[in-house]
Amino acid sequence: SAQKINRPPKVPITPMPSYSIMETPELKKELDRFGVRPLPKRQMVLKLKEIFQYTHQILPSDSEDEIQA
Amino acid sequence: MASSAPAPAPRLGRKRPLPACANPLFVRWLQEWRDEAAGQGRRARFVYQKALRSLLRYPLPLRSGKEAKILQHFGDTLCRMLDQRLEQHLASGGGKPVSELP
Repeated sequence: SAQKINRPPKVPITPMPSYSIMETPELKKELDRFGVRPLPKRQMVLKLKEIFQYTHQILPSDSEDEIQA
Repeated sequence: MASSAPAPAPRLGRKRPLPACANPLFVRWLQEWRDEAAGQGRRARFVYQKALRSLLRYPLPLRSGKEAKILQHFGDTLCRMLDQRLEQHLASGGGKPVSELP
């Protein structure tokens, strides 16, 4: 079926990793991917959540093509 | 960890498209400073280049130079330079450093 113009394609949405239970070295490694320096642990968890939420904003599904009969 | 449980099928959804570059102004200024330093044969070009590499990997919009302090290779001096440049930019009627979401 024709994809509507100016709407991004549907992609699998990965759930947020469990940053809260990650160990410090793993948190550092995750933040390194985003160019962020090592921070106090609590701050690293918050920053990773912030990044995840910002980069995984889901558009509300619209009724036109979402509702299945 | 639980290895026996089959992975649930991933939920499908549409992601809000983000601007290609989260901090276009800061990127441009760092490139300027890097090229200037390179032209004068100053070693500072490596400092700017390293900072640029972490900035390009950072997906969130930065509101100030000070906020960039959490990035790798961003020292006090560089953050202050960014804030000064931002001040000049805003004073001369330039837009905000962050690209607002549509």
